[in-house]
Amino acid sequence: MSVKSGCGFAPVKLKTVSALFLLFLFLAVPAAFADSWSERPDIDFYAHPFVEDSQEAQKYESGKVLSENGVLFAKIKDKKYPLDIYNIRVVLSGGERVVCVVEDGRAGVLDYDRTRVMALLIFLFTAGVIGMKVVSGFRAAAALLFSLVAVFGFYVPSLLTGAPPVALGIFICLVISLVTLYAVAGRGKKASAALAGAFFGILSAAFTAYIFIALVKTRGYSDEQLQLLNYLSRTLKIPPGDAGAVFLAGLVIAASGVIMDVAITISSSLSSIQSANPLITRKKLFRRGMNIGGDVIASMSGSLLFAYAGGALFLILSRSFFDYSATYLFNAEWVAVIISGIFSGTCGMIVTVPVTGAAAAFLMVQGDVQASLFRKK
Amino acid sequence: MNRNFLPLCAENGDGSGFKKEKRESENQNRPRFFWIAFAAIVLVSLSAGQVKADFEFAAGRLLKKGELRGSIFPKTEETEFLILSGKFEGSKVTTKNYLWDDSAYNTFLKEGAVATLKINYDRDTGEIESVRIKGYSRGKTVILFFAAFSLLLFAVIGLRAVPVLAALGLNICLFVFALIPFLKSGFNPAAAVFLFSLFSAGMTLSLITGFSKKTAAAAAGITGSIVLAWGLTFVFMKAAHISGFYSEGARRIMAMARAGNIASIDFFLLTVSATMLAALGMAVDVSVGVASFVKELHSERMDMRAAELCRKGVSVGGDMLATMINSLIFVFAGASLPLVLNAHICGIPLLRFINYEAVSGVIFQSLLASFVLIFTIPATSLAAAYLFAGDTARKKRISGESV
Repeated sequence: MSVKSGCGFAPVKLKTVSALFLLFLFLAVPAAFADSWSERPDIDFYAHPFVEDSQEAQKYESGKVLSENGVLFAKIKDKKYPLDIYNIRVVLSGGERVVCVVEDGRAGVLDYDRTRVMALLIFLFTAGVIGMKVVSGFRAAAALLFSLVAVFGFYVPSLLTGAPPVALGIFICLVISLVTLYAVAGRGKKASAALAGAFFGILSAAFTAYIFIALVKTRGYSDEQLQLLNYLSRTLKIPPGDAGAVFLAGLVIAASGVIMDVAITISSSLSSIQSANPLITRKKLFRRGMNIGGDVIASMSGSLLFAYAGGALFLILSRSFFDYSATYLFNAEWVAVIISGIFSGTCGMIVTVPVTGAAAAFLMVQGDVQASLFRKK
Repeated sequence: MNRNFLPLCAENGDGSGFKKEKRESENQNRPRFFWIAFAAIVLVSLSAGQVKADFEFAAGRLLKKGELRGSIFPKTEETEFLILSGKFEGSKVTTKNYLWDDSAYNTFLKEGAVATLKINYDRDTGEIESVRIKGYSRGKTVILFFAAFSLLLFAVIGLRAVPVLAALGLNICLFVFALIPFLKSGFNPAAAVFLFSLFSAGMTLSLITGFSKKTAAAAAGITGSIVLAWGLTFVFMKAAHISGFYSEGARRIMAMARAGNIASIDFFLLTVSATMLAALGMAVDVSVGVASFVKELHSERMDMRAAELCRKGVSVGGDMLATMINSLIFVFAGASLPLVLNAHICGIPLLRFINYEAVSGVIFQSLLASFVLIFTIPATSLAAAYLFAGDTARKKRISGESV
């Protein structure tokens, strides 16, 4: 019997999963008390919902909760089922939408169905982006959709068929930046200049991340999900195998967004300045680019810090209960993992600024000689 | 040549803006020192109240190690360390190094290498009870990279790197020594994060752009958008039943609170506020970008009217937003890569997958954080256009009257 798999999901033998899971538990219990682990994994493997759900090949349904005289029913596809709640966190009242499984004529509620709220939010979000700038906003939303599909629809499944995570990750980022920048800025010099900056930025972010995580000797395993991935991948003998490579690829993907942003900001500003003053020289335009780039880098390095720290607030809070000694903070693996993201992002971004500025100056300004002739006339 | 490193002077090639800018930068000095001094006082007073436990982390140099023993995992090796830092500096200790079959969890050491040790000691007698190896020594690499990063920053943006690095350092200190202790002591998370945001954004802006019209416009844009987006986040996360208990580390916080080590924390408010925190940096960034552009454009074309400046600001802001949203969502996407891979491996269908609180929480966080940016751009453009163009108009009026 094999676990039901969705589109592109690798089919996995249920018995293999159970056997390996038990074997793992057997190893994990003594291992949990080991001292010399660089970081002891905190993950509660016994109760991880992914592993639990993968063992029960079930069909999930979305249903609506009905309340009749204080008794709750679940309405699934116009049929009414008596209802059990399987999830301690779910507190129900009438009208709520839930995810459930139907077994023996009863509906077991697993979780709230959050799809509709999410859809509303995505609609508002798209409307907001498009409302900001009708044409390019629409293009931006489309580009974002493309990026997400490229990462989660193409990249992730191909990792499971054995594609090299880092090389393919960098390639995907380059393709995404090509599509996004041309979609946002049109097929003009604005996009080309931004693209030149973004290419170099992404490559240098990957380079920085690679060197940094090699030197601090981490493979990102302080992260729960990477530990689980490492376990699943090793025990089931399926790619990607080395979760550390996935960690590195994740860093490059995370940084590429920021890099595109810096590139387009500078290129777009320079294009506006050039069109406001067509007689501006290459040198002056480049200098204006460095001015704007300086401001952007200045605040952007802070913003990366917040993006990573805000995402990891719970983690930081939970890890920092007792000790604040500098020795601990500078040497802990999870700190190195957070810092690696910030470093690779900022270094990529810093390289992006002069490259974009130079490319914009070169592309947007016709030769200096020509411009000075024009000025004389 | 040196003019290249002084962008404020180089800004107007003809030198006309030089005096004005210089005066402005002189005025900035005092408030900058005020912020730094204030931050220092807050940090010192907060760090003084830290609770010290009966263990400490220290660096230790491996003097010698025995042979690898054992036929099953974990294999062990006897090690002897010379402690290099902390209160036990100079003393020699022995401990076992456990080596597992999965090398990712091991600390491989050669003689002469430095490792991080956790030293448990008796608080009364001060004697070492036990020593554990806690992993590689990473401090030097972190510092080396920070130095390389600083050099790169200096090379690209010149002397402006000084306030940038100062802001970065102060933000980290503020985060570690102010926000985290506040949250641990049971302070309302929403209030703590809001105060932190206000202080941090104010500090970053004043350090980077000084007190100028650019700062004022950016600050107005940020404050308005944070308040709006916070409300939106609250409503949507309530509607989607996001509780915050899914986050990595939440269980540990709960356990600590139950054991009475820290005050209990409202996870829902903390999640809402953490979302704002993730976007705060970007909001500062986008508002500085827009305000900076409006200023550059205004100095290029003094005759441009406020409405047109605002429109151009929103236009450039729109371009920024288009990829800015990418950048925020990419940070979340990059981080959730292993999560999605695991779901694929376990064969979780889409309907189930996106309704796990852990997954929908990330999706809501990344979308709602982007709303801060959507609100920031028009607000900042409006404020910047009004401040720059309005001022020129007023000056013209005054000079016209005097003539």
